[in-house]
Amino acid sequence: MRLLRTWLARLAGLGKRDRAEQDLAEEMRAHLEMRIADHLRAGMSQEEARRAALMESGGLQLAADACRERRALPWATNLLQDVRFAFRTLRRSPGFTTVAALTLALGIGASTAIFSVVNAAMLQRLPFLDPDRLVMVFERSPNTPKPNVVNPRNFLEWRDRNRSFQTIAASVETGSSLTGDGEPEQIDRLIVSDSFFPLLGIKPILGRWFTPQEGQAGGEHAAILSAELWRRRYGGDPHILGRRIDVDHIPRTIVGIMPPGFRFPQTSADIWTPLILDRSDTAGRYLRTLARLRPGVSMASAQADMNVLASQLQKERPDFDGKWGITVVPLREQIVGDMRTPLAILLGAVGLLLLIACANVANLTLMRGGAADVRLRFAARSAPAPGASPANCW
Amino acid sequence: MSENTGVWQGTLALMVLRTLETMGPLHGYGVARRIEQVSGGMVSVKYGTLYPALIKLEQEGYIAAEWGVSDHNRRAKIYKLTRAGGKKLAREARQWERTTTAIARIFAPPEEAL
Repeated sequence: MRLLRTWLARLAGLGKRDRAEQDLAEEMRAHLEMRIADHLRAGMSQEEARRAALMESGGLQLAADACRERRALPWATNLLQDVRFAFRTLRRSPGFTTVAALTLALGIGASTAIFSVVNAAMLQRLPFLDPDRLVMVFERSPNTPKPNVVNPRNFLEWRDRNRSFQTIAASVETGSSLTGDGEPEQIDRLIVSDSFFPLLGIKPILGRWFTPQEGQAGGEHAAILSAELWRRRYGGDPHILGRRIDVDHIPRTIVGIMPPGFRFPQTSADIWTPLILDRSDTAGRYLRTLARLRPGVSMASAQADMNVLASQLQKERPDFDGKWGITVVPLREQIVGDMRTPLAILLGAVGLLLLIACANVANLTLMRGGAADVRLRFAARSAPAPGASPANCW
Repeated sequence: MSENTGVWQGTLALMVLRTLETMGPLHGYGVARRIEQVSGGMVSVKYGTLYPALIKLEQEGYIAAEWGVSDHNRRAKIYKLTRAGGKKLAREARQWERTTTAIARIFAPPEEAL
């Protein structure tokens, strides 16, 4: 507490230096005069009194320096002077300053831009509940090793028969037209199973998630809007819940608004509607499947579990699932995936670019012959002149 | 200025506080003269140690300063003890007494130590 107070006082001392200097000078002059007066009273001559008083003082200039150091923060004062010096030097040569500033700006700008991408993709946690437990589950085609989207009936089999996942959800993206009220609009729609929102754990800012009933046939008339669409088209109307809108000419009721910035996987949807799954749909594969690992289940054991399930399904439906496997991928890896190495290389490249920029500016400084100049100045300023503050040397 | 300034300044600060306590509000020269007189001339207070010590005490809030008029009708900066300063002095004085008592015992003739 005491220390804080002292530092605040010293910080404040930076601001009112001139005033404090005058005060100190006057205080010391008074001190000296009173001393001389005392000596005179003791019977000394004017000359003797003065000399004695000065001798006893121990050096007025030294005392003033000691006070100056005590009063404010000497290094901060010096720093201020250095900054002023740098500013003056730069102003003298605007051409050099512009080139140097542009070079550095380019280097710093590029580094910052790439770093913000790296930060978002690789360093930040995904904005979902306990994101490290989230995985994507894919089918694996016998022809290519690449993960493949999922058939609805297979998804239902996985949902009912797996032993590794707490929750499993499916989604499919589509473009839709929003009509009925005002201008017709093309929007991005994500059709999701009712387990989708609880799995990600992000609550709507208004209304609710889809209910399990809405995941059954007949429940597809519910809709959840993105905060962006809600604000843009409906002016952020707080009483929007229950309103009817037409999406692809099907009337739907708004039951919830998601928070701003909510997006999954990477593309942002404007609207979410319930996915109604039909076990008889064996025609195609089009679902993205997201799951949350049960507590204590590792990636490897989830993969092993799904391998067993895949071989069972191969036997049950050899015509459709013959030779198809199942792949479990951590969500983060799915999102960052192939970008990891290129991003790292890019980050290294812009880092080097920044270094080169710095080297160029250093070269510029040298070429200006400013280096010798600066060296001289600094030599003069660091010379131990008693009682000299840097300002005195310029 | 070397390492022993810390010790010296600590002691000086204590003397300054004590002087202001016994003499009441006083200017810097008065403090210096009083310390010199009371110590019988054994302690001579130089500007270079006195004024930094005063500034430090003021920053710490143990003393307060304002411009006033000295007894010779001269403009002078007058220092006075604050409440925090009074408490600090009492604390430090007790500490000082304990220390000197302990040292006195150590230097006492051996037979008294029994």
